[in-house]
Amino acid sequence: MLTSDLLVTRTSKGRIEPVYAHLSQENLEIADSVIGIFQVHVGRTYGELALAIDSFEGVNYRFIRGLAQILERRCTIDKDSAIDPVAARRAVFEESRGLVTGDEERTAVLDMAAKRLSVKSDDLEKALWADQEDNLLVKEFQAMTPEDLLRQYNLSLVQTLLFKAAGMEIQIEDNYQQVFWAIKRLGLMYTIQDGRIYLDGALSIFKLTEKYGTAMAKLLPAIMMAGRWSLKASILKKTPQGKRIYDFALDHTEKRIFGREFEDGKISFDSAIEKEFYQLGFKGWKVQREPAVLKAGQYAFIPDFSMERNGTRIYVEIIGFWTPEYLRNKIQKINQLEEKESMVLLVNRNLACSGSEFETDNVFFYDRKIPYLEITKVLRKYEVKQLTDEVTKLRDMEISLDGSMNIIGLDEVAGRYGVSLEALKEVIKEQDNADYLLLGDQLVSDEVLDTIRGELKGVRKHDDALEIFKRYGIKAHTQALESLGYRVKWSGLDPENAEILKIKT
Amino acid sequence: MYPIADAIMKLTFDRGTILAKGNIRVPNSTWDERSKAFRAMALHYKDIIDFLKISSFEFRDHVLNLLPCPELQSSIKLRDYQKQALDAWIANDKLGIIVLPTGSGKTLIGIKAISLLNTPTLVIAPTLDLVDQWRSRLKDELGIEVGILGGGEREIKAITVSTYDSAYIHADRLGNKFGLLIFDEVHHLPAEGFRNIAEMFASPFRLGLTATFEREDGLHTELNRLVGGKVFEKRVVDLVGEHLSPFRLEKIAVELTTDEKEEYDLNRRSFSDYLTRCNLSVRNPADFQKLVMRSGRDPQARNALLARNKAREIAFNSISKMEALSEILKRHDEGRIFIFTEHNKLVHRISREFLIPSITYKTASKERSETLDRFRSGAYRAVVTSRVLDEGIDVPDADVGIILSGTGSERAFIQRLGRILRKKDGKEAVLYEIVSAKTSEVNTARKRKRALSQ
Repeated sequence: MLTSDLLVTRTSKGRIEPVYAHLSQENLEIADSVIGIFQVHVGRTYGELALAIDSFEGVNYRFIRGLAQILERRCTIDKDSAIDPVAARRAVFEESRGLVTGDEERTAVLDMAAKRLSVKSDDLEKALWADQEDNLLVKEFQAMTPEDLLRQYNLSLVQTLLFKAAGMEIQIEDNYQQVFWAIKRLGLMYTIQDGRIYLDGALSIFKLTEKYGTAMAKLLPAIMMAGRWSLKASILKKTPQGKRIYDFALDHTEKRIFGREFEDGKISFDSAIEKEFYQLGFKGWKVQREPAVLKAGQYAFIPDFSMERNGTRIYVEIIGFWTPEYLRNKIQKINQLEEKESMVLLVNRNLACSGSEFETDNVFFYDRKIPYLEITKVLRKYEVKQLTDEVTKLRDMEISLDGSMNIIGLDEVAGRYGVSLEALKEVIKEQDNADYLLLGDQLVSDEVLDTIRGELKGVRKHDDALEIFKRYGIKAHTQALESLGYRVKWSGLDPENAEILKIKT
Repeated sequence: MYPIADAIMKLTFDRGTILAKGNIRVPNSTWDERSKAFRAMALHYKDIIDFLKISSFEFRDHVLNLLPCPELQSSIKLRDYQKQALDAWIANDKLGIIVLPTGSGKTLIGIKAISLLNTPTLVIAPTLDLVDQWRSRLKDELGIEVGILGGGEREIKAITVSTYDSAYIHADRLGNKFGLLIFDEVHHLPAEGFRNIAEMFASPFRLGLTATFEREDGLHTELNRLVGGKVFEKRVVDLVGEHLSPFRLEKIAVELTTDEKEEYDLNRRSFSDYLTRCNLSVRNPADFQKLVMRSGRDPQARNALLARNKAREIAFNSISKMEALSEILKRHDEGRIFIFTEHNKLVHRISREFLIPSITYKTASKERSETLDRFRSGAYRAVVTSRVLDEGIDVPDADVGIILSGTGSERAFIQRLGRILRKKDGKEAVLYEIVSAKTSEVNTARKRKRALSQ
């Protein structure tokens, strides 16, 4: 984004458009020169850099300054002084009592202060103003290509234009989740009609206001991340005749002139507790941040997290905010959800509410930490329920196994039936299949087992035995050895010394 | 579904507005298709409630959700004119604006109002210095912890002080949490963005404070709607002597050096030639604004503007001024001196040459308050500053003000004068103005002093 004085636009017939810097030879050369100015000023003062940019400006000053503004963000600019300027000033002004009126007195004051700080007078005088903008040192500059600079400039132009937006209509073909949680986070209001999302804010029905322009500009990256998108915005612009509204339109076909000021896939959290939750990890459950838009009456509800395991999906909402009306709203919304049975609510204990206000059983209070154990208990409940459901389902079915295979991987079979491995194994155990033995997550044919039994005769070393199992693709070798009547004898810590022994029967 | 519940109006607060669910259209509201309810700016909360009460409609009011508030008490004794001001405000339904000169104790009136209403209050002030000053005064007088919003802090308490910027950003969340709003330097409020603060807060009681009610753009008329009208006013002349220090004004005209003169004339001519060529004239801020807009597309206009600025810079920053300044500093070898300039560049130059502590808008707040503290204690005898201290900060011990350069703004002039006028026994304040003779600056200086002759 740029400061608004650097926004260059063109208007015609009620339309407005930023004057984009197309990737022409001329613009690329200008961009390259500005980058060059920054590069040669590493190690020099910011004042010198500013002067160099100033003298390069010419007629096209807003373009040049816009580029410079973007590049400045890629610089490390800091003071160049061994003595802290604030301390230097304090010492000098204490000595001057805040004022000298002659050159002699001035020199004397500087000398006295320098003596007190045990530094040289000249160094002290230099340090006095080392933190003034012009005297700061350009310490580092992260260069970029002229193409990237122009693209970023163009994106910044659009965002700067959107600061003045009174309303915006967007259409996107994907990336709904990100766009909606950005809308939610940015406090915008929306109405949806025929796939078009119209955005403005609470005050917008009373007056044309730029109040929500910043939020719309911040939404832009999320919109642009959709594959196909378009937007139309009403832009308020001051003209000599007063404020006017202009239409601004943009869509994905112009994507190539824009860079990305944002990083993909970076997850942002509203609170530390949400971050903690995300990082905890729950075995077997895939946690996703703000995963979907759910319907709560006429509102959209985007839960903080979803947790998924074998097709079972539950939602987690963390309520740590402090205003009662926010809480009231939330309770009302959650109670309207179709998915409320699968909601888990984590509520800050300091909030003035009792769990009974929510029409769901899964309400937990937390103080500072996520109640990890309670949540795993809830998850366990879902796991058990899921297992029972699947086992019941499988019992009613004939499980077809590929009889021509010597070894059958059950995870693959489970995937085919859309059930968990655990449930499948449960049912297979019950079925007591005569031709196969269940070893770990695999079914191994008796035929293979017989062959292996033969091969194991005379084998002593554990490693050699493993080699055989490996050759046949059997993973649960310890269990396999046991079922073939062997046990492992460990000598010392080195697995190479381990041997297998036939248990006498 | 629930026909009976529908008949009862239900009012809630929604992001700086009031949602009214039910069959009655409340005053100042509009049907909002997005929410299927009537919606009004939070500003109209009091009117809506009054209307519903008078019409004896049944309604449920969930709008205000005031922060829990400790008992607020203060033993402040107001001076007679302060008391009159407060009484006038109370008589106007606790709405409206009090206009008093800088240095006459507006902050005290505000604190007294808070303790009288005994309700959670948001004080909004334009600069971080003022926010800080309000916080420490509130803490001292009311003996409570005070919340801060702005400058990186975000702590909401029953009594909170905020910058205008932060109040604007957070209005949609905080608009129903305070019973009383106090706008310090209320002339900032009508600005396009800031007026949203007044509109998005439901607070039924509002107090505006300022030394300079009128705005050059005429937007002060908006204040009626946003805060309530002017309920009390006293000017500098009404209070000088009795409540403020007597003062004299001394103008010093300096000649530009020959080199400066030559360059000044050259640039000035270049500017006026452009105006003549294009048949333009610049008589007021609006004309000037048009010229600035024109410079966006017209390189010649831009060059003309640059030339004008260059000429101003020469006049404002003349070497002769430094000599005159040196003379004044020598003359007041026991004085407590505040120096004002228009540009930071000159601040730095003076600071460097005379080793005078400086404060600009870039000065970190820690060093800034240290410098002011030391000025108050007498450890530093002088401070040089640009526009940043024009408003509100107390420097009661200053008795010499020196304006080295400034705009034609009457407000800035009054504010600067106020910095040195705070009452102290036996003090006679002097305000010097150093102006470059035979330049446009003479005219600029004349404009700003109109404030005194009114």
